[in-house]
Amino acid sequence: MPQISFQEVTKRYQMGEVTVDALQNITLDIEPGIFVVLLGPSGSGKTTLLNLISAIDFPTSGKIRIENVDITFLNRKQRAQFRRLKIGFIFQFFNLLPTLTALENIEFALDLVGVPTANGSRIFKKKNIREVAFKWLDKVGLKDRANHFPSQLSGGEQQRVAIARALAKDPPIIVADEPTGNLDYRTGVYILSLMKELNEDAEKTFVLATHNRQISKIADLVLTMQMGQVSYFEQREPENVNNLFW
Amino acid sequence: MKFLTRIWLKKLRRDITRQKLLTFALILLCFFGTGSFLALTMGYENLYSSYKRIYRQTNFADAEFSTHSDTWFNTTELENILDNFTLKYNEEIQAINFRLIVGTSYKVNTSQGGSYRQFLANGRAIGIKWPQSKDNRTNDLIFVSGSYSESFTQNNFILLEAHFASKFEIKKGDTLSTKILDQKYDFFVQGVVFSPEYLVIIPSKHDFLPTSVFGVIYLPIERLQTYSNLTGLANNLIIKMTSDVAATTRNVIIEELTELLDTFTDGVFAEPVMQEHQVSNLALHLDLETFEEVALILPILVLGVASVAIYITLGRTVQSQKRNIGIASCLGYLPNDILLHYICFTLLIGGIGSIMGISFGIIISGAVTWIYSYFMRFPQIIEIQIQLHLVIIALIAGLGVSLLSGAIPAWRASRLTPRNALQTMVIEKGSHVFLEKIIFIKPVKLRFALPLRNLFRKKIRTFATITAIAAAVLIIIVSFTFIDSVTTAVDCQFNKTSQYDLIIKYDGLNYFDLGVKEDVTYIQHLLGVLAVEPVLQLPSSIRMGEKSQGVLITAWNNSTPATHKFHWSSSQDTLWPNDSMVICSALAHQFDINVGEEISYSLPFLRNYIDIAYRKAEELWKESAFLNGTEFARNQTLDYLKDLLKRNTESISFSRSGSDISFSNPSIAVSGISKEIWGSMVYTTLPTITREMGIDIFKTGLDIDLTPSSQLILKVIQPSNITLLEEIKNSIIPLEGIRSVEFGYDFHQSVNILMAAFNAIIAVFLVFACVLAGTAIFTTIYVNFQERQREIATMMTLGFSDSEFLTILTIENLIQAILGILLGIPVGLWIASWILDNILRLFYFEIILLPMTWLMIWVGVLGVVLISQLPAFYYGVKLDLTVVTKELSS
Repeated sequence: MPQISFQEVTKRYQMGEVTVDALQNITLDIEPGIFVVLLGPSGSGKTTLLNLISAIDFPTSGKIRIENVDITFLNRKQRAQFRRLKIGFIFQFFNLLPTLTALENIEFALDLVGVPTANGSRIFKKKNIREVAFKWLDKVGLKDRANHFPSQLSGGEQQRVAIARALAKDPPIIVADEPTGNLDYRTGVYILSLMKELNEDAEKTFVLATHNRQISKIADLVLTMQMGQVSYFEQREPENVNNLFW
Repeated sequence: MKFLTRIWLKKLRRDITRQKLLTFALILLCFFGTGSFLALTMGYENLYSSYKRIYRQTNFADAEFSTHSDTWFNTTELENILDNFTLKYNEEIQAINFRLIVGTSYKVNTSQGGSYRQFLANGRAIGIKWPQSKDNRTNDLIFVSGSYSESFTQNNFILLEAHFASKFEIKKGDTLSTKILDQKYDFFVQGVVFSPEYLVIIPSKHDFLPTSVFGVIYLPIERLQTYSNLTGLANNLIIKMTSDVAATTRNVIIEELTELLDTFTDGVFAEPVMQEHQVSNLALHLDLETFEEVALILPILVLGVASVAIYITLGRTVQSQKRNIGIASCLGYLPNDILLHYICFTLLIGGIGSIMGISFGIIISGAVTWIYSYFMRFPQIIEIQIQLHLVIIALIAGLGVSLLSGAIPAWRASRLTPRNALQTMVIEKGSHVFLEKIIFIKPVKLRFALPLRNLFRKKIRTFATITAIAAAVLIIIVSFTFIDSVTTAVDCQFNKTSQYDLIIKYDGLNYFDLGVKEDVTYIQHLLGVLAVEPVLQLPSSIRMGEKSQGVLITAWNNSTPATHKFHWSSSQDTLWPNDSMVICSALAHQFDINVGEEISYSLPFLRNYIDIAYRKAEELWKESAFLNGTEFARNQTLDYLKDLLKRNTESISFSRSGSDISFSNPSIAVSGISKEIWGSMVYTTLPTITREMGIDIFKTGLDIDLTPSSQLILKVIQPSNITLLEEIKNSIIPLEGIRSVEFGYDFHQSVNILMAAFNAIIAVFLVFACVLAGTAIFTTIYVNFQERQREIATMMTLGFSDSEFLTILTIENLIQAILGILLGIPVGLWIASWILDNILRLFYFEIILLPMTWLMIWVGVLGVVLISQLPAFYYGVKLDLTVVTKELSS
């Protein structure tokens, strides 16, 4: 059973008097735990596809099933609930809450879902949440920056916090829109290696949108997009992140 | 002037249309600021200039000299005395007129709401020189109908004051049944007039509330002298100076005239009343003072809030348009173009708001003036004009406030370097809040700490929001304090304290000679009468240390009055043990007196009577004893006194044992402090007055007119049964010496009308406060929301539900609202207290805010805050997460 399933999904935007077909009749299946890269130039529809996976946008037609849930007709509340439990977000501009410290940014996300226990229930105790948040901050190598505010962190550090925030709540799918777009090469590579490592260790599905062809080399699956369609579907053996150059 | 090019103007239009609600809110604030300023100030100025015009046209007297009650002066003699004086100040004095003022009563009918009623109303007749030359007319009359020349057509003509005429629908040509000194006359109303002395009908300084059932008639002095057996006598002198006399010269002339009158008339004259202390003028002046204060405070508050709101909004606009500014700079636009572009934006808001406010203010100011003058029953003589200088001030204020508040953000925009402006991403600094540690919020979930930290992000904005809420709370608190304090006090005064249903006023001080005791017995047996209590009212003055105050002593014959229930200030208060007095709270407050302490008092009116009568009797006795022997002299002196008592034609007063009269027991103990609204009431018993204060004179049967001081106060079984009251009244009217019979019901009605008008004004202020609070809060909350759109979108993307977003928004706004309320309450109470003490200083009101009002204030303000955040919430949930989360900066 695919984790992400699109069946003839179309997305149209109305921009003034012009109708734009952002996605045209997309049908695809993505298996769990793989690293997917959506590759394409600006306006190819990769971000729209990402938005539909993460339920922050609605398809114009077609059907989307994520984790065995048909999200096509979910209402606002159900969508919020879905995003809360199933999707971890990594943004291009990090989008950390500036009034919260690095640790608190992670805690804030965890506070929404609680900490899962062995019996499947979730604990919302401050102590447990802090423990998990700290563990994730440690994982991304920012243990000593826990009490720093976003304005006191570099771009790379902010994105690492954002990754920790996305993963801490243990979602099955992580979506990342140009996560290295705002970072220098060295930091970008570090972030990608971190994501790749977490993908392998935590067995989470990563869907990453980028226009950087080099980055697609680390993917298990590359969907090349053009004019709102998947023009090329490539399952491949991922390369080592450290071999990437751009 | 590139900032005015088509492209910039297009951008300006887009800026406005993109934030329509916000722009509208800012315009609304400017509109309210300039509108309230113009409405109130122009209303006040129209009234003030109308009064000034009326006073100028009517030659309103600079000072008025009245004789003590029942004392008169000979007009021919005084004319001679004043000859040299008027010659000396020929240039300065425009006119000196003598008048005779006599107490009257009128039988008038009214049919209101289908029920026919007859009134025996109190009033006075004023005898004036007739005809007067145009230059010589002091306190001239303004004719609503009739004219001076028409007034000669009938022998029994009178001119009737307009308030009374309006109240009882009496017109020119009607007949007015009048009683002067117990003689009945049917006068022909030859004209209806306004007088500068009676623009507000307040019969004396001891009558606190204006009335429309006090009738004033004008007739030639000679005729009034005949009606009242006072041929050649008068009791009132008014002086009018020429308009160019300096204030110091005016005071010198009045002082000199006072001395002159004192010397030549044996102290017949009381202290002069200057124009500014004339009761009607003083009452109007106090009203205008209130107007003036409110007309200043309210617009300052609103424009202050508008100013902060514009500053915040423009600051936010500049922040969100940094890239545009950077691009414009790169393209070669000068800093001044950018500066002037944003100044245009702020001036446009200020300009539109001001023009709308000015238009609205002009209309409302006319309405304010008209409603006020209609309420005071003199709309015919008030002129409503557009005061151009105020319009210009309002426009300058509106534009000035918007310009000043927009100048700083616009300046910052113009100083932005392209590098800074085009910087891709600026992350706002975060910090811990000290309060978190104090209130142990740290262990609490972050969604509670987050709103708290948000409050400290942009301190100026939080401060502005709190200030706006505090300003609104301040207006609400002042309004409600007025309502609660005045309503509670008035309700207590007229429904619980003063428990009278009818007041019967006599001609003069008639307790013993004119058979009041028989009257009491007679009235007590009338059907429906529960209690009858004789009361005497005496003007007096009390003193403690350096402070002194004119008061009105009310003395009951009964030691436990049934028609007056005292509301004590403390458990120590008691009712008149061992010859003492009860004072009202205002005096206790003013003199800082406690129960058991003693105050000095004096009765200046009576002292004069005694002194004059004693001197005259002594002279007569000496002269007669020398010429005719003691027995003859004794009889002659007694005859003289009897004659005085009988006729009341000259300055009199005497006691049975003149030299034994000890008038001034210097002090008397205060046994209780009664919570009342009156500013200068003192209560005691008749035995205390006669014994402790040494006024044995009452027992001699001397007929001294302290008009109208003798009263019978009645309490009936069914106070709301008008038919019963009418029947009782009709049985009382035929009794001898009755001047008027008034219903407590009518007084309550007029108080209720006053209160209704008062409450209507307050209601307008409350609506105003709510709109102010709502607009200001909406502006700051909305700007706040706009600035944090990306954060909010991120939270929603992470899985925040609508209700969780609303919770965070609400917590943040509730904290601001609570802080605003807590700040507004003490300031509001302080201002309310100041206004009640200083502006309504004729009365005394304790600051009261009822529990229900407190609840309403909290619920109301919090409600307005919650409603005001709804647009931000609405836009929050409508945010396009796909776009906002990916924007470069918020």
